[in-house]
Amino acid sequence: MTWSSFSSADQVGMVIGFLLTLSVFSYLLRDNVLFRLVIHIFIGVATAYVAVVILYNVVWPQLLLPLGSGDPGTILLVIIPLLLSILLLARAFPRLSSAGSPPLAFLVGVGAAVAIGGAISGTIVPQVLAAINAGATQTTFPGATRNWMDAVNWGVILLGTLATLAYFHFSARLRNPGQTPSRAAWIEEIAGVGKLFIAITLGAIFAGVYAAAMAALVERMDAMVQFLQALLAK
Amino acid sequence: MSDEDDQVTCAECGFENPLEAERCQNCGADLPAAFAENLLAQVPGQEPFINKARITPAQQVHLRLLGEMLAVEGQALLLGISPRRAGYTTLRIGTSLVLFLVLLFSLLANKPVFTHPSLTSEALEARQLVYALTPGAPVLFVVDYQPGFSGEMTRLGQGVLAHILAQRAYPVFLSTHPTGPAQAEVFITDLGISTGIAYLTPDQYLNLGYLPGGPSGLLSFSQAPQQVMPLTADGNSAWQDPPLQTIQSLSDFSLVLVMTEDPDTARTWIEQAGPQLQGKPLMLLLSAQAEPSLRPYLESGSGQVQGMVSGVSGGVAYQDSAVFTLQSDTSGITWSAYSLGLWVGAILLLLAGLYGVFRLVREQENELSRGDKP
Repeated sequence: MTWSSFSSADQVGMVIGFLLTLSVFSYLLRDNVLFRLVIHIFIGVATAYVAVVILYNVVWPQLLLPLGSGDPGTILLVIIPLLLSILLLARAFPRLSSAGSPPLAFLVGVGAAVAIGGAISGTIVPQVLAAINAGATQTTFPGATRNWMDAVNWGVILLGTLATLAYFHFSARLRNPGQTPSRAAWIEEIAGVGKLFIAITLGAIFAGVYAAAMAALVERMDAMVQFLQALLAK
Repeated sequence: MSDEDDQVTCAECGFENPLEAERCQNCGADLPAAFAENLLAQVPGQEPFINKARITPAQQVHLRLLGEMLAVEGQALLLGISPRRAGYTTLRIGTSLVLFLVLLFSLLANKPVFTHPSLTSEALEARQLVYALTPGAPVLFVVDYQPGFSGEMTRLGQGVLAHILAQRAYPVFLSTHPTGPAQAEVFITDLGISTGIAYLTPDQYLNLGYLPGGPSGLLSFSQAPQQVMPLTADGNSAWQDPPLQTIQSLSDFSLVLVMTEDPDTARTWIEQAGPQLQGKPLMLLLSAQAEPSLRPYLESGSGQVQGMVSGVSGGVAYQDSAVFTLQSDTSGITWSAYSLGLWVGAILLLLAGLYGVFRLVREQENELSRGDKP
């Protein structure tokens, strides 16, 4: 595509994108003012954007609009969150900050309860049950026939689970006076195997992070190449 | 107290008691409430309480241990960071240049060097879920990724969204990230450019916007979507259109699809929304970095996740396998450039690792040879 085929807004966006990307890449040479400028712009723009989204998408439709509805039931329902929000604003003033503690405690308490309840019922119990049942019922995907690979898979899962749990077993006992407390020898052995499983897991996660970063790099480089090609083809 | 640090002598009978004893094990007399010599100095301002406290020798030992631990906490930890080696900057720039030049060459040449990957079994399951959608079926499409990942996520999700729209299902976008609503609009606009079709709201899709409240908000939305998100991102009434009039809970959606780069976000959706689905499928579109952490939800047989497409490779394979064709790819990630970048990066990592091992062996040899000399 030629430069003139883009709209003015696209052209401005492409120029800004090109310059900002180059500025970020300049960090390869050393930490410099261009890189820091981009970081400041990013933080400022992101914060302002989030503030606008929250005002427009949350505060206006879910707090102010019901207040102006004229329906006493609706108004009553939003009075409590409104009061709690006002109290939360008191945290900004040191002398009044204690007034913000009740809504903060409410937020933290509810958040923790929901998160812990979800973790127990949504992850711990289903995953433990699945690990227990894996040996008896598992086939990797629906419709697949059970074979010796499933048995090997289950064995690896069992070994990995037990060994990794052993690695995080931190109870130690003073076995000989004057020596550092240590775990039992058999736990040490299993923990060594657990360390291997953890290393493999971290390796897999690192590979995923690397692949995601490569995708971002290719996308940025392609955008720069397209910008230059459009500019030169004018 | 006796001279031995681990025993205390009874003043009445002279019996040697263990440190933790409060009474003499021989005569039953109270053992002396001893104070460390400088205890008051250690806790200034607490003299009235210290004077009333009875501190056994065992407690004194614990106090001393605690004091030592706190003292260590206050000390700066010396890290074993070796001074930056000469040529480090050159090496960093050289490595980057190699990567940049290879990618630049691949992008300019634009030749398909690497063959496209084939569809994995979990992506096949995902495709079957989309094929099962009937015209007008409401699909909750969660756009929960950071803007920095838009290249990968667009490449990953474009084929799936095109397939959903080709089935004439009705995607409803939602996000628990403030930037998500804008990402969703960019996503569907890019798809419109690729397919040559202008997708319009509210005829073909709906954008509910930003859902606040984290896990609590998500749980509330799962139970009562209409009450929690009454308006769309552009401020219109959300639930008036025919495909959405019957939606009372999350289980009224035909499919829930979560697109994210963050394992914690996906986990929150599985934990909070999963139990409300009542058998309706949950499908994940994941960045390559989140996939290893979330695969157990798919493969454990717990039935919490029914389909998964991950990474650029998953997106490319899905796009190749579908019945529709995209006229152009606006995502900016060509498979060959991406594959070449991964290979070059892996080779550089391997070479760096080998160089590290070589250096280590040489340093050990040098140390041994120095040790041999008198």
